[in-house]
Amino acid sequence: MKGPASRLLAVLLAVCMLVSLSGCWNYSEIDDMSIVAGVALDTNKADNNIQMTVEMVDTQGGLQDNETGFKILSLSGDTIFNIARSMISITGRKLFWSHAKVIIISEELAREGLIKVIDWYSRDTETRADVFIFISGEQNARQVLDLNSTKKTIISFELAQMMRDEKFTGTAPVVEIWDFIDKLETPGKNAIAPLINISEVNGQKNERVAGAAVFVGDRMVGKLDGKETQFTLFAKNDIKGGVLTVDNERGIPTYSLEILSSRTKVKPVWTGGKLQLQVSTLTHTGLDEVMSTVDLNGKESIQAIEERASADLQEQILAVIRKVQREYQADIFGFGKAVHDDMPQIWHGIEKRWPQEFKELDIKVTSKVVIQSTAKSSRTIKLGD
Amino acid sequence: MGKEIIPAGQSISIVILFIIGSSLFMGTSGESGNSSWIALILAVLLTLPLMLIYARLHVLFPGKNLYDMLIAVFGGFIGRLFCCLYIWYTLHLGSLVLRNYGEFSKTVALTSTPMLAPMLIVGLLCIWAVNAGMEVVGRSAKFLLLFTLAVIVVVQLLSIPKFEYQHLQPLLDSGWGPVFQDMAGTFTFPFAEIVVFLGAFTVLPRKGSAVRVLISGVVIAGVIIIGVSVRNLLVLGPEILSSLYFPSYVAVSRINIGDFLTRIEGSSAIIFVTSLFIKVSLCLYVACQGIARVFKLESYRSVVLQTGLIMVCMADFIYKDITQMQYFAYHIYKIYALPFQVFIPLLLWITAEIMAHRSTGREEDVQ
Repeated sequence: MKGPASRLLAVLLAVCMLVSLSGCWNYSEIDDMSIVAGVALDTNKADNNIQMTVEMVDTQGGLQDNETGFKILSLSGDTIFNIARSMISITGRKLFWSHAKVIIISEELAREGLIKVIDWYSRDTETRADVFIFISGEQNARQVLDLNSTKKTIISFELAQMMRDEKFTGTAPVVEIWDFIDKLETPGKNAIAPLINISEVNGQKNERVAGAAVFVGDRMVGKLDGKETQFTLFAKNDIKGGVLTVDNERGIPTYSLEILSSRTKVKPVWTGGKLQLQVSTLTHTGLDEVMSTVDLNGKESIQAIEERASADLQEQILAVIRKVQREYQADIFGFGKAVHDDMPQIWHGIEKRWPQEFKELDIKVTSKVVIQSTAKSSRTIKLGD
Repeated sequence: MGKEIIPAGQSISIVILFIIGSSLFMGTSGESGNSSWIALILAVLLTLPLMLIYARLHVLFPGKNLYDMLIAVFGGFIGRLFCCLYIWYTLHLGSLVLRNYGEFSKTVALTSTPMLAPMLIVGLLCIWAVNAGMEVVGRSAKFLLLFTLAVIVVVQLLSIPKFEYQHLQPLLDSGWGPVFQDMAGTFTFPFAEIVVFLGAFTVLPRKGSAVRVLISGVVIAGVIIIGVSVRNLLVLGPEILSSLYFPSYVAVSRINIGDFLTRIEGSSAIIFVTSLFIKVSLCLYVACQGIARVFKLESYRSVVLQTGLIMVCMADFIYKDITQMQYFAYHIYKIYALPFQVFIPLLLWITAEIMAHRSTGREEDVQ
């Protein structure tokens, strides 16, 4: 086959292919979808099933507005995926999940067990597992998302931004779904998740993330407040920043140390026929605030502040470990994993009764705080006579 | 019939891409959790002697491929019977690999596209390449290898911030038993699958070059697979790793460089297609060579299209679903593949050595 006939055939073939093969198989435009920003999950007492509330970005908002619009939608059902699809019957459009940033779960649901609500999220291909988890300290998880009607912003995106800046406060853990599941599956580790509350000050309602929910397996068993969470994070080697307040010699909070870096080592040792865990922390800080005029070269030296801060930190970390040991028996610090890593033989012997072992575990904490700098000023503010 | 010869560099590229083909995304057998890298090293070491045997076959039968050897050693009838077995094996292997790709695109990449569509497109591409000849496959392999290596290295570097080194501890947590199990698993899939390359030995240039091609190919591919497996382990941890069908895809999806460079897993899936293309092409080529040899055809080219379409078709119905695929790949395959990868080549080698020994005893030259 030569000549014009074959050339014509080639052109015809090319045209056919161009029309039929290029482009997308299941093409959909952005205005055919509702973009999900965040999800809140509650129990629905009336039907004894799950209620899902979705915060969506309103693409209909128009280009003139600087603010993006949002929509809130609630629906109940037996399984998460069922609800996710049933939403179409209300929005008329398929929900688009890859941009969802947060998932807020009510305390009630968390106490029943999280596996049943997060499995779909990590399994389905429409969703992504790098979504931040929160446990609502309020009655409902939905209330948090409902704040957007007064705040006029998309709460989910605000929360995601908050989690990105969480490293500067260090009073709540930053947990993504895959991270949470990883903790569930790792032997000798229990999970924590940040707590979210609505704080009302002077009539202004705002969401506030501080503190942590403690889990045993996938069930929530208790809470830690913001301060305790900070020391928990110290023990877990998860501190990236934040502030340590230090008292002066009379016990009045006077100094602020900005945490520049912190490293924690957990070392299991076998002493006197008993397992002991040695937690040692080394924190580098900068002295960033002095609320008095005391002379730092005199009796209140930098060294004295360092020592007081170290002793205080040591005491606080031990206190929170003791509290978790006594009240929750939840190994949120990963001590079991540390034993597993360093002493596999011993671990296999005690793995089965680890919760009990953990409760009675001997813990020793040593902390060291180093003040590296005093920010811009070399001395305290002096009062002119 | 013009004889096709491809340089050693291109043959090595084919071998590397063939071996890393599907395990790049499927991962390797993972019974031993965080000690799987030991199993991988052992599997590579175990493969090397086998490669020497394969290479020795090339020296004993210069210019012949697997089917010529089988017929020369075992005679017309039994030899052809063995040939049929190998035709089945290569055809089946090609289908398995295509199906892996089909399941991959169905599960994570193109979820609403019917599985047949991506498999058919890659299948047609392979048919085209094989029809054009091994020289084309060799040249594309060399080019695609560079591309694949570049992507692997970049992804490897980008995932370093997500490494958690304590995932490697404790070493040998569950003892040597699972490690040996994994070793057997990774030995058969993917390393010893290179037995398929025996069917393309005619394309190798000189007498002794098979040693170089096979050994360096297996070692380089081994290094790549170990690198990727250790990366997946460090990023995901042994517990999560064991629950995933396509661990690399999920590991890459965790990459997040300053909230800017994220969600690159789709792009990294390209290397799956490139290596798979070479793997399926080689399987198809060898299956067609076998058919041509058994039925005394003039050229293998006359059966490429039919065989390729059968391969795609078989890939479509070979498994019921992805769980069955997973089970077959990690539990049944290591037993199923052993005769093709070890027993028959071993038998062939021993018989050939004896024959060669006898004939040199009787006369100076066989030819």
